[in-house]
Amino acid sequence: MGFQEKSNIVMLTALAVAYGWYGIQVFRLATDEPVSEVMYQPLILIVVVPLVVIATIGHIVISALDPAEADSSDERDREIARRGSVVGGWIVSIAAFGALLAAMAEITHFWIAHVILAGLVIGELADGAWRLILYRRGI
Amino acid sequence: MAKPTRVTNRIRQLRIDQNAMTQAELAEQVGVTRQTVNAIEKGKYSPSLEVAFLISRVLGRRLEDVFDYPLD
Repeated sequence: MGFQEKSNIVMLTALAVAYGWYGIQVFRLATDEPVSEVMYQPLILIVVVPLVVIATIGHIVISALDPAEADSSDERDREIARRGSVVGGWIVSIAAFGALLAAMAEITHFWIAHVILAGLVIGELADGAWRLILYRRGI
Repeated sequence: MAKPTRVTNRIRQLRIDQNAMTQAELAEQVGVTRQTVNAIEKGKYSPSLEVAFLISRVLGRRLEDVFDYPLD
């Protein structure tokens, strides 16, 4: 398994753990009070911390395990990344359109923010998952 | 499941013929990762024309001696 494939797995794990934690926290808050009063803003900033920590530690570990290949990439990695980005881009675009509709319908900011956030996170997860499939299946 | 590419190659055999050159050695000379050489050998990746030429050159063969594109 090459460095970029390992890096992709690290980022997928970091995203899943960080935003899984975020989802649980917001769900708990939203069950206790109306969503319009949920203070999700600090959580959106705080969630970046575990994301960066997991990603950084993960990359240090995979680089230490195979220093010669650290940060190496080639045309195959770039093509797989490009195809993954196309999938992620579609999801982000759909979420942006959904957020636009939500704003036009004057839905509470909580939902507009979370439609956008979900699009970004799911887009990244789909991008990484598709890359994982392409690395295994071939392109 | 069908292979992602119809391009076939003889890289593995030609590496063996070249004093048992390893995938890592070929990859280093071509400028790609070992995993990419492995993917090409297994038919999981069709390289760019430039990489295909470089592989052929390192193996000391013509492009059509290394790669093939069967019609069926």
